[in-house]
Parts: sequence; C-alpha cells; structure tokens
Amino acid sequence: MLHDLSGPLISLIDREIGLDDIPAAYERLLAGQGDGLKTIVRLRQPAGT
Amino acid sequence: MKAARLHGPGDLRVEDIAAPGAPEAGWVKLNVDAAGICGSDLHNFRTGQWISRAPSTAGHELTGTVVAVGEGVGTVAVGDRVVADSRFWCGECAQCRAARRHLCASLGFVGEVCDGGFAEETVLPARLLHVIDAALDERVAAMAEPLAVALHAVRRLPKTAGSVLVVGCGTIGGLAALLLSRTFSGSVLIADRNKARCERVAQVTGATIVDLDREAIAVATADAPLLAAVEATGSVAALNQLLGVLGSGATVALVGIFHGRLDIDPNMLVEREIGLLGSHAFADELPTPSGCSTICPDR
Ligand SMILES: [Zn+2]
Repeated sequence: MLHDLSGPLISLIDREIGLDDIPAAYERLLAGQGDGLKTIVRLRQPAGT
Repeated sequence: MKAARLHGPGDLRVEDIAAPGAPEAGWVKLNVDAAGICGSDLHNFRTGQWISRAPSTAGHELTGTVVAVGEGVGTVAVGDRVVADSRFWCGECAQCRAARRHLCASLGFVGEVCDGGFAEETVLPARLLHVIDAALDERVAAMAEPLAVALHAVRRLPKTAGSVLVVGCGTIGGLAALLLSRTFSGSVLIADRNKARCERVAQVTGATIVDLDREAIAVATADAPLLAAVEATGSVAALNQLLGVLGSGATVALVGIFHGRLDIDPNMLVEREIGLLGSHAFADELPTPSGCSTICPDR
C-alpha cells in the first residue's frame, strides 16, 4: 500500500542529504526554507549508483 | 561510525562514535537505510524540551536492515527490512494494555529516550520494529511514520464533513492532504503561508488552495459550513484564524506542536459546539505487511 503512494511521496521530498548535512539542514528548515514536505537522510544508495 | 547527536539545546554534532555492539536480549541492530527530519526534531533542537539524556542520536522516522538480533527475538530476522515505531511505549500501563500506546503513561520517543536513526547503525527493541516489503523504496519507508501520524489526525475527524481544511502544508499537513485526497469523498482545502510549498502539495494531491478568511472558505465550500479541519502549523495565530472560519459544530484535529498559549473565550466553543481534539503520534496506523491498508482504508 505504501507502494501505491510511492510516486506522490517521492515527488514531495524536499532534499536527500547525507549524515554530514544534518546540522545545516536543521538550520535551513528552522529558517523556513524548503518547499517540499520532507528532508530525507539517505544512507543506503539505490542499486546501480 | 558516524552519528548526528544532540548534546543540548542548539547543539547538534555529527561525530565519529563507537558502533553499537551485539544487541541485548529483545533488541535488534540495524543498518539505517534512510531517516526523515521531523518538525519535532527541530523543536527539540531549538528548545531542548524533550531531552531526557545527552548526547542522544536523534531521528525517529527511520527504516533499516536488520544485521543482528538479540536473544529471544523472533519477530524479525537478519536481512529483514524494517520501519521503526517511534513511540517508546512501556507495554504495561493501563493505556498500553488497552492498545493506546500513543498515550502510554511513560511514553518517550526513539531518538530521545534511546538512540535513533541519524547514524549508520542503531539498536532498537524488537517490539518497535515492523517488517516491510524488501522492494519498497527506502525514502518511502522513511515516510511511513509521519504518514501514520497524518492518518491518525485524519481519523480524528468526523466522517460526514463535506469539506476538510488542512492548515499548514509541512510534513504532517501535506501528508494529511495526500491521504484525504485518496480517501475522502468531499473536497480537500489547504492553506499555508508558504505559497510555493502549498502549490506543490496542491499539484500532487489535487487539493484546493484557500486563504484563511470567511469569504474564501465560503467560495470553496459553496456556502456550506466548514465542519472539519486539521491544524498542522502549531501556530496560535493560525489556529485563531482557523477558529474564525469554522462553521458551528466543527471539529479540529490539532497535530502541530505549538509555541505559545491559546487565549480564547471558552463560550465560543460552548455556543458553537466547536471540538478541539488533540492528535498525538499514532495509534495502530503504522503500516505492517498485513496492515498496510490502514494507511488508505478505502483502497
Ligand atoms: Zn505504557
């Protein structure tokens, strides 16, 4: 079922970042910058990348 | 390993720390695959309100792959992909025994009372882990927890309302609009001060953007009273504006984390029969393999 929502959910992601980027992302989000719904810290990269 | 740890209010550090060792009985070690940054992470960073131990690896919206299980764990196995229940419930109090774990007498949250997902590896109690489809995109899996929060708020609303207004198009408001667009037969209205974000949510969900004034709401509802709303901003000013556009008999699910206090005349609630319902985390809405349909009950 989450599969059904995959398309819209992915299109609502603000940014994909690494662990090192989290403090800067906190500052950016607290400053109200970000037009997406969710900043995702991504540790497992998709196959082939 | 690398981890982002909160040392105190305003003090978040990415550090190299020792990776967790073999998990204790009942606990599970995960490689974290993805984790979302939540508004409550930001609130805790800014205010320190929920710091109960420091430093603590933040992050409670997480998905990972099981790499080791402690003694007695039978619900997940090495190699399983899982999402975490963010609610650190006791399982023994009257609320937990009544399956209201989000109202647990000693409720804490992952990332605060125990280390969370902003790390390469983490350990969590097996009882907080739900196995997911191995093919699910990890970014989507990381959004299972906020989706459950949004769904819980939506489920607090009356089923008969002709229109639902979502105030605030941040994570929870935007996801509530998405869920409503899939499950609610009436019209979904959204309002947000951030126009670009509001337009993006409207584009994805088909919701109608409105201003929080009576005229705009009357046009959007064809003069029918607005009887249901989700307040997802946590702004007292926005809530006051919302109260001004609701019809008598309306219900509001409050899901934003507020800064400041509300000053209202309770007689307004009495005379107009306005219901303000708190909505905290989620009850049974977190998707599991057998229960994923709870996210979209009508599909
Ligand atoms: Zn409890």
